[in-house]
Amino acid sequence: MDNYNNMESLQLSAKSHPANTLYRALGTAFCYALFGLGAPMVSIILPVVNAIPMSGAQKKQWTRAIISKSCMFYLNTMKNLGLLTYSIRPTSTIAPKGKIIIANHPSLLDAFFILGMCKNLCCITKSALWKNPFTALIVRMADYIPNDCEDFIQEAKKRLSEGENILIFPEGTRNYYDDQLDFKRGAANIAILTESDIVPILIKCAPRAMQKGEKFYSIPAVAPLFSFDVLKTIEIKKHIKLDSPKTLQYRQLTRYLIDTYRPHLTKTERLKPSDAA
Amino acid sequence: MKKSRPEVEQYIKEVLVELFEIDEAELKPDARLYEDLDIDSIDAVEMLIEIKKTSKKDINPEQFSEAKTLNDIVDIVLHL
Repeated sequence: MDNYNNMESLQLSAKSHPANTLYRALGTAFCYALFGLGAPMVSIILPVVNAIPMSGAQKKQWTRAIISKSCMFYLNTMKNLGLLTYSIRPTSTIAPKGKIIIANHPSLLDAFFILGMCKNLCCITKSALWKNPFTALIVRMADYIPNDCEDFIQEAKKRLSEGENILIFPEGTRNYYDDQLDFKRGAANIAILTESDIVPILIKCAPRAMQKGEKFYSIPAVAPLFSFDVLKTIEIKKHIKLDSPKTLQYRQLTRYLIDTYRPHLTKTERLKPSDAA
Repeated sequence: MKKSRPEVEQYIKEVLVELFEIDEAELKPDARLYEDLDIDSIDAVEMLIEIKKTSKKDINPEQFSEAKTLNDIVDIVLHL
C-alpha cells in the first residue's frame, strides 16, 4: 500500500510536459483505434476456434482464454506506449472457483483488467450484445449470461457450481468519485441466493481516467496508475443473520461490502452527475 | 371477515418495517416504493410472498408489480 501511495504522490506532483500530453493524446487515439480493430480481430479468430472439433466446454474455455489474453495484450500495449501503468496484487492472475467477483468501478478499463487477471470468468452482459453481429459470436462462445436471462439465479447457481466465477460491479455503472460507494444490492442478492462467497477486488486509478461522463479524448495530466488488489475472500455466512428474512440479509451483506471498501478509498474531487450529460 | 382499510394499511406497514428496515415515520400512504423506500424488484417478490402467506389468497404478480405506492398495495390487498 505504501508503495502505491508513494507512487501516487510522485505521479501527482509530476508536472506534465505539453509534448508529453500531446504524445499521450495521440497514443490514446491510437488505442481507441486499436480497440476498434482488435475487437473485430477476435471476431475473426473465434469462427476458426468454433470450427475446431472439440466439446462446447472446451470451446468456452478457449474463448475465455482468448478474451483474457486479448485484454492483457491491449492493456500492455497501453502500458508500453506510456499511457498507463498498473500493478496487480497478489499475483498477475487469480484462479478462484465458484466465486462472485466484485470490484469498485472508477474507469472504463476495469473490466479489461479483471478479464485479463481472472481465470474462468463469466460476465453478465447486456442482452443487446447477443444481437449485435460484432459481439454475438463472442458472448455466445464465451457462454456469458444475458442480463434478461429468465431464470437468472438458477443459471448463475449452475455456473458457480461448475467452478465458473461471476463478475459483478455492485455500483452497476462507473462511479463519479472514489469514495462514492453507491452499491446496489444485486451482488448481495446473487451471493445469498446462490450461497456463494465473494472475492472483492479493490481498484484504484490515480489520477482518475476514462471515467464516466468524460469525453473520450480528455486525458489526465499524467499517465494514470491502476492498482488491483485482491482482498480477502468474504465468507458470506459470517456476515448475515441466517435466521432473518432474506430481504434483511441482502441489506446486511451490502453494508458489509461497502464497509470492506470504505477504509481503502479516500475522497476525490466530485464530478457532478449533471456535468455528465 | 373483511378487514377495514386502516387495518390493512397497518398490516402493510408492519410488513415493510419488518422486511426492509424502513422507519415507520417514512411510511406515508403516497410513499413511492421504489424511489422513496429503496425497494427493488427482488424485494417486491419477497413482499408478495409474505403477503400471500398471511392473506392465504392468490395475488396476481403482474398487478402487484404495477403498484407504485404504499396506497396501491393497500388497494390490492383490500380487493383480494
